[in-house]
Amino acid sequence: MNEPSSQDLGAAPPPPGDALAAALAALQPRRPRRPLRDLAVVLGSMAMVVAAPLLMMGVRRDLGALPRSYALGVGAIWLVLAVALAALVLLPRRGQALMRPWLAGAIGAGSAALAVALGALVHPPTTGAARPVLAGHACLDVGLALALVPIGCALLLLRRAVPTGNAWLGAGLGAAGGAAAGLALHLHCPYGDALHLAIMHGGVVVLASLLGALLAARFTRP
Amino acid sequence: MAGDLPSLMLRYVEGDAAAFRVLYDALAPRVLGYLVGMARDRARAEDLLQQTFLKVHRARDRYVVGADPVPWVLAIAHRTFLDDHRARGRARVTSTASGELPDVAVDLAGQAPGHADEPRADLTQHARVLAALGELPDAQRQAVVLTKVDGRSMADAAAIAGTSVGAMKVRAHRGYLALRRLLGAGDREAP
Repeated sequence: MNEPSSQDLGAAPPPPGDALAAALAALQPRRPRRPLRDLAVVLGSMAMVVAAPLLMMGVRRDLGALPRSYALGVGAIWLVLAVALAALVLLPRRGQALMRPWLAGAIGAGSAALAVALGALVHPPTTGAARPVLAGHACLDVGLALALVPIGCALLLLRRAVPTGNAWLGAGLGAAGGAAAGLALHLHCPYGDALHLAIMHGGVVVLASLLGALLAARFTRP
Repeated sequence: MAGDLPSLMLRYVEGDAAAFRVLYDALAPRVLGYLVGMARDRARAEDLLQQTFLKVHRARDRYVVGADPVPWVLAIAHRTFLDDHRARGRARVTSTASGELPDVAVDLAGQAPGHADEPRADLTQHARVLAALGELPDAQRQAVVLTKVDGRSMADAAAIAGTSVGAMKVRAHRGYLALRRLLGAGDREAP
C-alpha cells in the first residue's frame, strides 16, 4: 500500500455497487418493525405457555392449601420477570432502532440467579410433598419446551434486527421465556421441595437463558 | 440533514429507491470513515461499505419508524467488519509487513463528518493517527473511532457496539491513553 495521497484523502465513497443496484432495481415496499406489536405477540405467546398446561393438566392440587402470600407473591415475581424482560428485549431506546442487549443480558442473568435462589429460599413450609430431585426432571423438560415457544416467537420477530450484542439480547430473551415457563410450573407443579424448586424450576430460566443466547447469536444478525 | 434521515429511511423502506440514493449519499461517507478507521485499508473498507448497505437493504423491514438510522447502520457496519475480520482469521489488523501505511479515507483525513467547512488538518498527522489506531485492540479502536472520529455520544457508541455505557467509557479511555502513548513515542523517535 502507498502513502496516503491528497487524492485518496479527498476521495468520495464509491457509488452503490452492482449487487446493491440490482437489489434496488427490484425494490419492494416493506412494513417497518413495530416493537409494541412485537411485544404484544410475545406476551400473547407467554399467555398461551401459561394457560395451555393448566387447561390440559389442571392447576396444582394443593393450590387452595398454599399460603396466599406465597402463591400470589411467587407467581407475581415470575410474571413481572417475564413481562419486564420481554419488554427490555423487544423495545428499543426512544428514537433508536437498536435494542439494549447488554442491559437485557445482565438482567436476564440476574433473573436466572434470582429464579434459582427463589426456589431454594422461598417455598411453602407446610405443603407440597418432598420428591427426589432427579425424579422431578419432567418439570425441567416441560419447562424448557414451554420456554421455547416465546423464545422462538421473539426470534422470528427479531430476525435480522440485532447487529451487535446478539448473545446478550438472546440471554435476556431466554430468561423471559424461562420466567413464563416458571410461572406455568408454579401454577401446576405441587412439589414444594427446595432442591426441586431451585434446580428443576429455577434451572429452566438458567438453561433457557443459555439456549436463547445460542439461538439469538445464530438467527438475529442482519 | 440529520433531521431528514428518519423520513428518508421510512420512504426507502416503503419502496422509494430515490430516497435510498439520498440516504446513501448522506450516510456512506460516515460509514466509510468508520470502516476505514476499523479496517485501515481503503479498498477493504469500500468492499465492506457495499456489504453493509446490502445488509441494510435486506434488513430494511427491521427499521423502527422515527428512529435515527445512523447508529443502526453503523452497528450493521460493525457487524460486517467483525464477520469479515473473523473470516480472515486475524486477531488484529496491523500495518503491512513492509511498514507502509494503508490508504485512508475522507473522514479520517482531517474533516469530521458534519464539519466540512472547517480547515483540514495536516495530512501527515492524520496518517500517523491512523497508523496508531491500527495498534489498538479492536474494541478500543472502535470506541475511539465512534466517539472521537465520528463524534457519537457514549450512549450511541455503546448501543452500536452492543455493550454498556460504562464499558464503552472504559474502552474509550484506554484507547485514548494508548493512542497518546503511541503518538508520543512517535514524536520522541522523530529526528
